[in-house]
Amino acid sequence: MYLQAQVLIKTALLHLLAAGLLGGGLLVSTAFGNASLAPLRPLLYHLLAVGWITQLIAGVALWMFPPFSRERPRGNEVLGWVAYGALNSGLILRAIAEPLLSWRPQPWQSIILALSGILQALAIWLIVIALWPRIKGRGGKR
Amino acid sequence: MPLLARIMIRTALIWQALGFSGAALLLAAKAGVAPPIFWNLLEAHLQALFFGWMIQFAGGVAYWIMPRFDAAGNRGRIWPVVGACIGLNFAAVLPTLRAILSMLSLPAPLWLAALGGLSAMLGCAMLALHLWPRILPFRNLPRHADG
Repeated sequence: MYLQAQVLIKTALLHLLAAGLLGGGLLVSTAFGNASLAPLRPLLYHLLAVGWITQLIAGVALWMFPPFSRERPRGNEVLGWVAYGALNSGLILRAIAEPLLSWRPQPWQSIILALSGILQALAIWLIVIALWPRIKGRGGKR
Repeated sequence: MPLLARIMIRTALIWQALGFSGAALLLAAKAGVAPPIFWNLLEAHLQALFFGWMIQFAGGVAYWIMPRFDAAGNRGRIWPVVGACIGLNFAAVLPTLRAILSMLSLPAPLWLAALGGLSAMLGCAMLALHLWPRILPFRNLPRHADG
C-alpha cells in the first residue's frame, strides 16, 4: 500500500475512534438526562460518514483502482494530498464551529462553518477528479 | 473493470460531488450566510450520498471485483445489477427533483419521495440478489470444455 493510501486509511481510523468516543459520550450523557451535548450529534454522523467511511473508501480506491499509466500508476498524487488536507481541515473546522454556534453564537463561527463546507466539497471534487481517469476496463477502455 | 461497473462507479462519483456540494450549501444556510431556502436540500443530500454515492459505489466495485463463476470471467445474470443501478439512481434523482421544485416554490408532491424510497428498496434488493451467489470460498475455477 503506497504512502497516500496509508495516511488516508489511518486518518479514517482516527475519525472512527473519535466518533466512537463521541458516540459513547453522547449515549452516557443522554442516559443521565443531560441534553446539553445534543448539538454534537450532527458532528458524530459526519465523523462517521465523511471522516471514516468516505475517507476510507477514497484511500482504498486510490490504492486499488486500475493504474492511471505505467509511468504514473496513481496519476497526479498532488490532487489526493490537497483533498486529504481539505477534507480533514474542513471536518476539524466543523467540529469547532458547529457546536459553538449552538452554545455561544458568534459571527466568526458562521464564517468558519461555511468555510468548512466549502473545504469538504472541494476535497470531494478533487478525489473525483483523481479517480475519474482510473475508472477503465481492460486495455484502458473508458 | 466491466462497463456496468464503470457506469455505476462514475455515476456514484457524480452523486458524491453533487451531494457534498449540496452539503456545503446546507452548512452555509445553517451558518446563516446563505438563505434558509437551501434547507430544502437536506433530504436530497441524504439520499444522494447514501443511495447515489455509497451504496452505488460499493455495488459497482462489488460487481467488478467479487468472485466469478468460471475461468472465463462469468459474473452471472446482469439484469439485477442494471435494475440496481436504475433503482439507486432514481432513489437519488427523485428527492433531488423534489428539493428543486420546493426551492422554486412549485408543488413538490410527497409521492416523489415515496417513489424514491421504493426505488431505493428495489435497488438494494436487486444488488443483493446479484451479489449473493457470488459470495464464494476460494476454489479452482471450472474451465470450459474447449480448455
